Amino acid sequence: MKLLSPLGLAASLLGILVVLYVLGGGLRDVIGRRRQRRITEAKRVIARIVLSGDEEAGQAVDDLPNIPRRIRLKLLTELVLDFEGDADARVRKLVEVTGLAHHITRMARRRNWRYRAQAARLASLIPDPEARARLLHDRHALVRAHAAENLDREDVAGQCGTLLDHLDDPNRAVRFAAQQALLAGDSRIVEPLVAFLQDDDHPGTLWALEVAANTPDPRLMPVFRHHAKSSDAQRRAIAAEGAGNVPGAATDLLSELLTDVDAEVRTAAIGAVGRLRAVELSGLVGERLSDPSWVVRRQAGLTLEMLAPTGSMVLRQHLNDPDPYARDMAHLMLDAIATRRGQWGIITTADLEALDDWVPA
Amino acid sequence: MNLDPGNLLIVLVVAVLGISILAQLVLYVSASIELRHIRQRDRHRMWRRILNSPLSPRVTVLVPAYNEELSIARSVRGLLSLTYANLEVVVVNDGSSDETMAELERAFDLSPVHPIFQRVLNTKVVRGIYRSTMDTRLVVVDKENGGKADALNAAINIASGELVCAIDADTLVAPDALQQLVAPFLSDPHTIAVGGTIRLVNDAKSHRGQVVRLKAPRNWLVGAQAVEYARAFLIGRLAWNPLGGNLIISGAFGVFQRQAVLEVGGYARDSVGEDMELVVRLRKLGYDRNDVARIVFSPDPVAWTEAPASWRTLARQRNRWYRGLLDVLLRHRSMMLRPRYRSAGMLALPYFALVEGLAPVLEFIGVTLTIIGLATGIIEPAGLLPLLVAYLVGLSASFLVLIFDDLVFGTYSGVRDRLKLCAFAVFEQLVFRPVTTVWRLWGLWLFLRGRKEWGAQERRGFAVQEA
Repeated sequence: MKLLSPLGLAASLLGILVVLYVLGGGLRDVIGRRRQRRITEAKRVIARIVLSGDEEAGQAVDDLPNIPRRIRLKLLTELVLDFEGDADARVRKLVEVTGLAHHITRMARRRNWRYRAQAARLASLIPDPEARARLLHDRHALVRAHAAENLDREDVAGQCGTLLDHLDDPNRAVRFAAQQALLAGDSRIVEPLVAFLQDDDHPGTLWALEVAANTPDPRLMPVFRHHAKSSDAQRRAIAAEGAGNVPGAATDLLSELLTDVDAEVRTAAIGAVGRLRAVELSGLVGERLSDPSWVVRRQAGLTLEMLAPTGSMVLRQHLNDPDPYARDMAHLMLDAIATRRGQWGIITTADLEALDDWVPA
Repeated sequence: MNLDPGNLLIVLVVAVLGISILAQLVLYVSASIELRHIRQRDRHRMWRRILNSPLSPRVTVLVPAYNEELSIARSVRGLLSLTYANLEVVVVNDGSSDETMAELERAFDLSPVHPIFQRVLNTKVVRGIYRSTMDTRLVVVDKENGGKADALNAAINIASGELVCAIDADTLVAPDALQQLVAPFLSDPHTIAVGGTIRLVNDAKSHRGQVVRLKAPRNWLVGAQAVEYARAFLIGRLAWNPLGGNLIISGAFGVFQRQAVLEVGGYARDSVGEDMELVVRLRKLGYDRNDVARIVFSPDPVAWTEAPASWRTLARQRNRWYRGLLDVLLRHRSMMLRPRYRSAGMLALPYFALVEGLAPVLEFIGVTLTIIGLATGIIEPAGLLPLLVAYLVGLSASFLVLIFDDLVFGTYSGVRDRLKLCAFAVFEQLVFRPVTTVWRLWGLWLFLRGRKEWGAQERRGFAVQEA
């Protein structure tokens, strides 16, 4: 077989590929294992610096120059989100001392967005606040998203306006990251959030409402009242959910939303009643046991369980409800309550009496 | 070279093989470019904090189960242990004749709830809906048998997630796979479907429903399928991303926008290739409405499935797949070569029709004529040389896939496993492919006779060992 004949060429190609696959793959295994060992070693060094006592940490710092910068960056990118408090302060110090902070700041200015994205992921380690803010306004959506995702709590308060603007961003990843950053913020975000939510025309209103619903602050109550009248069912549902996080102020609003035309809104309102422990609304919640939607009925059952003992009483009343679905849900919930108590071994005489009440003769 | 009948025949056969190899080469180049692109982009897509938030898009995992008593509990446990924060799992017992429902009740302590839901998609009668008291994210639907598509439609009706993830009951999903599948939906609002990679679980070691170590298969048939799967996912699907004509999101592992699926009417209940059929319909609707409907394949999210280890089961599966392909091509023939449907109509569908659809017929004709030619002396044995060259090039393509697979996933390690895979690649080219050609021809025969049912399935439970 001549080597340059078509058959020879095809056979040679095959041979080369087999050798590449078997030997090249083997070589790759060896290199991969070696690299993994180096990464593990580097992780150990960083963990010693960050987590152990001063003396040991000092010794570990001497080992740091032996770790290639590429691996240091990779590890910091992976670990930066996991540290808090003292460990976080040490990581920052480490980044400054080793010149990594300068390197990250330089990456934040590169033309290639991929470098800027990596810098954005390490944004909290950049000492210069202006550089951090620049990343948040970057022209590339992914850079903006990463910068928002990795903002410090302090920065969230400072950049609240930008983050709220990001909720209107056409890119969903940016909106999502901004929403998460706002959720990680403290009470300083409330006032700008209220101002943002008073305007109905923002495309990001729903996203901002979700943030508000997860921020327990009475100053948000007027916002929930405003959006509870919205024609958009999703907004009403989130408003109901949010009202459930503001103690005392929302029972009138919730009683209205309990009879909303949309099942999702009714479910959210019932859940809010449960969270508020608004016993005075248990009768209205009981009526929802005959709701056409199973999700609403189930939520009503669960909420009545939370509102015990008044809730249990309402459940027992509905054991004789003319509506079979209400009867069944009440039956299921009381059964579940009894089973759970049985499991925990805390059945009381009152429970047994209650059981007598509803078990049909 | 004089063009006597023998030579003409060889030229024809080599031309067909050459076109097929050329098409493969184009796909290899496209896949390489896309892989590089994905690698660079995905380095910056670590939405670790975001996708662990309970406010991340809700994903409902749809699990149609028919006679899956051996593997259902382990599968569902694996799904409930996924690290995705906003998850719901809907298992549909599609009128199983075995103990699937009892096994679910036993393993997850189900409590009945009333079967009231918005029936947007038509399905067979739902007998009951249950929720697990151990993990309220699990919903089980018990319904009359209606086939996989019907079960999926029932699950979509009940799903509360904005995204739905269709998987097979015998599929194990990597813990972070859902995060990776959801990421493209966050990055691009036009994304309506994302598919992941399926690997073979046979001979792997698992722990609590998750695969912890993959080994090269011991069974030759499974080994050949391992090579075939690597080629199908890495080249067949990845390559179509930049060409814009991805037509297959595997029914065993893919995420869809629920609203988009509802708009096209869900899975087609009368098709055996329901996964491909749905994707083609989603694409068609997008083009008809002048919407940008992005359907992508993402190589990193991985799910594992059990490959048929017996010739008989495999024959049924391949026969069904081929009938599914023909069914889709026939249903959507109006899209073929229509510029309005862009790359799907101008590239992908013609490719599937010519290279995948007609391949068994052409191969059969080529082999038969060559044998007749050799027997009658029209073709001299030396004339087979070009054929041999073409086969060697085809075999080289398989090795290229293995190298690709090694670079992308590093699935198998160690010289022994790699040597085994080399042997499987040769076996796949020389034995497996010709045999599948026969099965596909059988599928063609059944298709022409109007057979559209799935055929009996054989389940042996996972062939994985608990570590």
